Amino acid sequence: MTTPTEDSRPPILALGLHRQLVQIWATGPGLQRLAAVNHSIIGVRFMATAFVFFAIGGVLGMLTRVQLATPQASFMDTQTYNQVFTMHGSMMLFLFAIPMLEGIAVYLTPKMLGTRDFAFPRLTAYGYWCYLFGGTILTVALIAGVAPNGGWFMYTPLSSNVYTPGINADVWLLGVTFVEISALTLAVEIVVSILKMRAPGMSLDRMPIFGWYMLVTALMMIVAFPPLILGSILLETERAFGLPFFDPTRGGDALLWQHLFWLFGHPDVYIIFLPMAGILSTMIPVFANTPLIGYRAIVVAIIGLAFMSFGIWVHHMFTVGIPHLALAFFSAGSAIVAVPTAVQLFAWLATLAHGQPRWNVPMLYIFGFFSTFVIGGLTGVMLAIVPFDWQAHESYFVVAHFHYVIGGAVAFPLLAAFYYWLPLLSGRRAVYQLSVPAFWLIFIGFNLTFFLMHLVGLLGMPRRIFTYPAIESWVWLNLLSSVGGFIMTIGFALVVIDLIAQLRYGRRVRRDPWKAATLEWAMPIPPTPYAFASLPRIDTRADRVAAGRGEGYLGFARNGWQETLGVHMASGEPEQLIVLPRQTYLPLFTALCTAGAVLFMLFQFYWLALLTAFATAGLFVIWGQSAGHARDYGPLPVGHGLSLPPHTEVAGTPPWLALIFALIADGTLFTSLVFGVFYLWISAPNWPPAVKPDTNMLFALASVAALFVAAAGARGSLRSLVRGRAPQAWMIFAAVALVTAMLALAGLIGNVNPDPREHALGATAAALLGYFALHAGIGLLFLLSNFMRFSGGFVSPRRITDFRLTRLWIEYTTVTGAIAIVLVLALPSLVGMLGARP
Amino acid sequence: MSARPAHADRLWLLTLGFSVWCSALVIVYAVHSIGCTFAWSTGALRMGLALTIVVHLGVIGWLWRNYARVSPDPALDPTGAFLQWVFAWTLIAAFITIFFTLGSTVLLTTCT
Repeated sequence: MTTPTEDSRPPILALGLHRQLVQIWATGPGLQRLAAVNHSIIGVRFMATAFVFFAIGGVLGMLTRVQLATPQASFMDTQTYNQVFTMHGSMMLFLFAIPMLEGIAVYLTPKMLGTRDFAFPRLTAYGYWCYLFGGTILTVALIAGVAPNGGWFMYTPLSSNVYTPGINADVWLLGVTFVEISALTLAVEIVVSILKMRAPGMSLDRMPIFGWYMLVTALMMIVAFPPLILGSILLETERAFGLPFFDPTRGGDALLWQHLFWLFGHPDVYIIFLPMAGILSTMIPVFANTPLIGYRAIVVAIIGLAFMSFGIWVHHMFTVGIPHLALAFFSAGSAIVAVPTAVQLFAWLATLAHGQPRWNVPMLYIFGFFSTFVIGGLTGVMLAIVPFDWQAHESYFVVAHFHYVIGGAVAFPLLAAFYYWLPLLSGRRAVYQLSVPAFWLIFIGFNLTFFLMHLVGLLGMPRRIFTYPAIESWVWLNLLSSVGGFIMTIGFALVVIDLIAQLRYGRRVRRDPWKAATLEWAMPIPPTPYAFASLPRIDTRADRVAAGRGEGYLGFARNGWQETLGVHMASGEPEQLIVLPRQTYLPLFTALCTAGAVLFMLFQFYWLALLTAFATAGLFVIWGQSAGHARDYGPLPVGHGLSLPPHTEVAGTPPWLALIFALIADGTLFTSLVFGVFYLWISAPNWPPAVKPDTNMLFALASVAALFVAAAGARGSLRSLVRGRAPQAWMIFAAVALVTAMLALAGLIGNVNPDPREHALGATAAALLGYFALHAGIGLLFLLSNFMRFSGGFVSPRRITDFRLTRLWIEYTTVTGAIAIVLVLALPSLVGMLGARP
Repeated sequence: MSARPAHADRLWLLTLGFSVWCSALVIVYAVHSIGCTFAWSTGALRMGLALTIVVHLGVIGWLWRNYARVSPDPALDPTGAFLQWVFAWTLIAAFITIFFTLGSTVLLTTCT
């Protein structure tokens, strides 16, 4: 599809080009800032908002330390303490750690990969607004005294409405799920952008190591978040509508929640760690003055780490009564996961040993990282050994361990990154008179706070208690731990003062102050909204690129388009011209609508929640109406004598890839649901139910048959479009089939036996059928969008992406729907097999 | 300049080795749970577990034989050679991981 052509465009002067590009890419002033979709702006917003939540979460952590500083303290009552420690954990993980890494990814990744923005700027903005509104709901609940109070893990049955009445748990379930939507959208965006939007010539082996880390992390997020989203939905339906997925008295199982939660929770530790390791792998070579040693070994290690992190979720459940054999292989997995982590640590040490390290503030924090993370890693290996875990479980030893891991893996690399990249944002250097004392206060305070928790844990102090008896050995350790917390807080306060001082008084820096060799330093400081005036050609590994000027691709403005290049996933050779959407208020309005649905659900206005959910879906359809082009362009010059077709006219377009990864996330959620069905079947008490399960075979077969017809309709419409015929008849055919499937499913759901509120068997059948019906409904939205886009001229025999997406969605729905129906039909037989149990 | 360019499909190969490990882990866990719930005899359960592991090790061996070699294919360009190297080592790592994590299932008591 690439065509070399003569570019007859006259050369443009640099300043003129800058002005033209700024006019196209810049966000407007005043209220227009709310329409921003540029990755630099959204990235900074993510990081700033995450820092605010970090500050709130930090204050909550300090409040717990005040309460625990002395025995029998009355600083807080039980209920307040429960809310404070739950929100401390929830905020630090869901509202600080993950969004902060997303912010860093959004801000840095396009720059390091030599492109102008992410693949879906509006989705980036939507992700940010969802995060902000979700976090705000949680924070307001805290102020109102109705914050979640069942721990950041929300274990059932404590979080069921029997033991946690009121809306506290609902705030967590709905608020966190809202934030997870943000995380998932960004994960898909990061994967697609890294695979398809790199600088020309940046093959995978030339990609900066940070790109590999972010690619693996985002893929992990795509698979890790759906189990928790599913768990949250199931628990919320139990609380709101009485479907007993986790209620053992009605065939549910409280441990199902733990499985779903830790299927997310354990990988989450590595989701947080890997971007920070990417940061370290980027910074250490710069300060060692030598390229990173073991690039290929690190790539293998992080792929292995990503997979292993999923396979060891059960090590959080060693004490729940799992047979020893299963404990053995989960224990072995938990121990071996240290190997790929160690590969990275040794690669960093080898890089430092091989080079000539220079000390600077970021290096201080890297030193802090090494010492704390190694301690956290080693205590992790200790906890992976079952007999030790049984002794230390639920004690402060575990609290110490995960603070060392999270602190070591996040706080220190993040502060190193802060000092390393702040000159890129601000154009100024840190004020060293403050930076160095700030580091030592944080380092000493951190170790004083958390190291002593190991000891008090080994002395038997349980976690999650709001007060404790005056046992002599516990008292002084807790007091010192609290003192350490205050020292650490003073250190963080100094960092904030340092930031303000840097912005106000810091010395101005020139381009590339650290003599780094990654692309983000090869641009003006602070970066322009278009990032690169022309996209550089990469012919060496992209962490060894010499910063400098050069004529690249797309060094001109055309039609007011936000242009960048799409490349081959492996070789990085340009293959399409990607035209990105301009700034718009749609992401904000859509996120507001989504927030409305969440709030109506929270306050049990279910019809209004449904209405706003429909409005949200409608807004997404409207999004699609302004994407792409209303006519065929054919290959267009992109520079270097090369012409490429617009992304709307090629097959491997970013939206196609995005839908594939979205379906991987969706498929993971469906697989988790199927896992839940089998888990309850084999493990839950009170099975089989008193009422014999049965399903209306006619409705079941009709729903699946209608889906197959809809899939044939979608294929027919695509075929007609490609051949230049009118596709409307096929689209109507597919729509009618989808409506038929939904009606049949409604009949099935209405007649599920046993009643979904009476027994978990009925509840799981209803959940499977509901999943199927929801996807058929979304298929209708795809078709509606196709109709509108076809009428608007956005679709042609060359511009077929819309129809391909619809076909893919309906085919996915058909396959998963068929599996769901087969499973529902098999439930009576499965129940019958339970009679064979001893 | 005649080197064969890396195909995008090679990218998916990088996930194969550890996907096999994940499959082995999930199936071993499922077989073990089902066997213990329905009180299979120790021999039958052990056989089921061992078979699962052997089949998965066999899949790794098959992938190795057909798709991977530590020495890069000279016909590949640098990107293809890089991907092949990473793929080969993920297979080696996955093989060791299967052996290390699941090997104990053929030795330990089954359902206590």
